[in-house]
Amino acid sequence: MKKAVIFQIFLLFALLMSAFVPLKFGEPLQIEAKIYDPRDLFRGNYVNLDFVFSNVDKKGEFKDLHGGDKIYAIFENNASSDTLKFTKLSLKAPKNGIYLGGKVSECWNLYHNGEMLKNMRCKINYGIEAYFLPKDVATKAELKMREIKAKLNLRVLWGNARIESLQIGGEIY
Amino acid sequence: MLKNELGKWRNSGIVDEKSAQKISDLYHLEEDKNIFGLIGYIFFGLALLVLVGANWQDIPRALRLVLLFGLTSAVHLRAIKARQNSVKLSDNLFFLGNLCFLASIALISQMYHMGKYFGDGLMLFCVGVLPLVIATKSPILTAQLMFMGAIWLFMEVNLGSHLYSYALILGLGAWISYRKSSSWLLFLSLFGLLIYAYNFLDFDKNFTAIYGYVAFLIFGISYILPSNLSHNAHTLRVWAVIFGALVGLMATSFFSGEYLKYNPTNDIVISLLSLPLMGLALLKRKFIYALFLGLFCVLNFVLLSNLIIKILASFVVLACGIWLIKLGEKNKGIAVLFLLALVRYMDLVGDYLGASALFLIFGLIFIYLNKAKKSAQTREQK
Repeated sequence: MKKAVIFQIFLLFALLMSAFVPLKFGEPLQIEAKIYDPRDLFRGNYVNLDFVFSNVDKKGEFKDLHGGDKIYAIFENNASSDTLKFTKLSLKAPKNGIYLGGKVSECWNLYHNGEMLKNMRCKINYGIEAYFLPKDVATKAELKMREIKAKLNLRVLWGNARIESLQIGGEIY
Repeated sequence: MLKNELGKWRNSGIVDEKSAQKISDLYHLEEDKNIFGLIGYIFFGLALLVLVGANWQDIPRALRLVLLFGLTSAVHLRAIKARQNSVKLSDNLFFLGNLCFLASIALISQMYHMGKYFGDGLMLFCVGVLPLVIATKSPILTAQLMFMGAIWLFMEVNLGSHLYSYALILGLGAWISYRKSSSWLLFLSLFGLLIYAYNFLDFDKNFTAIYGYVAFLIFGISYILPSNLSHNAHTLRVWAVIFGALVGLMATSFFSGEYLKYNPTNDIVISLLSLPLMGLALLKRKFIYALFLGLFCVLNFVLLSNLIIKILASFVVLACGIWLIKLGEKNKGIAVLFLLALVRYMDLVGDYLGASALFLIFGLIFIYLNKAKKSAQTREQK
């Protein structure tokens, strides 16, 4: 029984390390984000973050995608700004450069004028879609977001990303 | 009666405390007491989870981590210490400790903004609780693991995964229910196994048919248990009937629009799967079971209005409640009947004439049953 309890505490420690190590040793990455503000029953208020690489159409090399599949968002330096530029999604992790590893969460049919299209679209989770804030702060941030673009400061280690902060204009949350 | 007599034997020194506890555990005499303690600990756990929802941002991160690790460890260590004197108290504390573990996973994820999909957190919970369940062989902790594992299963199934690892949790549940002769855990394991098997079939989500079939299947299994498991038959039947009654109420009330869809293909398969059960019922001369099973199969094919379905389901649930009371499960039977009254009252709000008529008929049935019982008792006395 003691060993079982120690194992539980060890798992909590492992979870903490999986959060802490990328923040400490990961490479910095700043990306643009869109937000809205739902509420998680078990984890309190958070701002829901959405990115340009959050969705992929099921066509070409992605035509056989289904829930649980791994997918990688690849970045390269952007000459015109200080953010890294998203270049493409890939089913394989690149050997060099910065990338985010994600998992397909769900796929759905697309419709146009009431008619179902051939292609489906899939949502990808990278583990950076939620930024937890107190309710009043989250509401304030969301209001600001309608006028100013938000940037998400990440630390990435081997495709695993952790959020450092959310930046809206000059304000850091 | 045994519970009362055990108290007298204990007080007069005929049995010592340890022997009394062993007898109590063997016949599950302290289940009621344990349930209140367990409910108390569930509320403690919920209070912790509500604290999570409040965003405890004002406390420094390091201190929050110390509190989380400290609380989880302290509750579990107290549970280990309590095990020498009272297994029930120890189980309750481990139950609370596991809830603290779950809250810690949620809070650490929140602190470090680790995504919004909590399925991975539930997986971690299951992995963390599994060794404790094996070490304690506690039915309550096993049920906790199976319940959280089932939520994880549903989340993963929605992503298109079959979650093969859930079979391990089911296997553990079945093993512990056998080791501890826990009938209700056996019911949970059987139920979990059937729903898990359903996950692999390419069925449309026909709620009433598949869950109703599961209730009938578990009831039928109770007739063919091997002799070393036959003492579980009563509990399996009771919980199958309670589950069936709940399915009947939910499907004809809260989910009636979505789950009463007519789907001939699924209904044909359910009916074919019901044939062996029908054969078993006729072989064992359980004609009432056969009648209800036949009615269930036929009604799946017949397109009736929602109102008629509701009325039929109400009488079936009423019969379930009466059957439970006749079987000696008075509290469970009354709970089913009260639930029926409450759900139909909510359904029929606005239609006071309909509600009044239904409750009048229920009242007349009970008055008739009471008179019949008294007449039978009078005849016996003569």
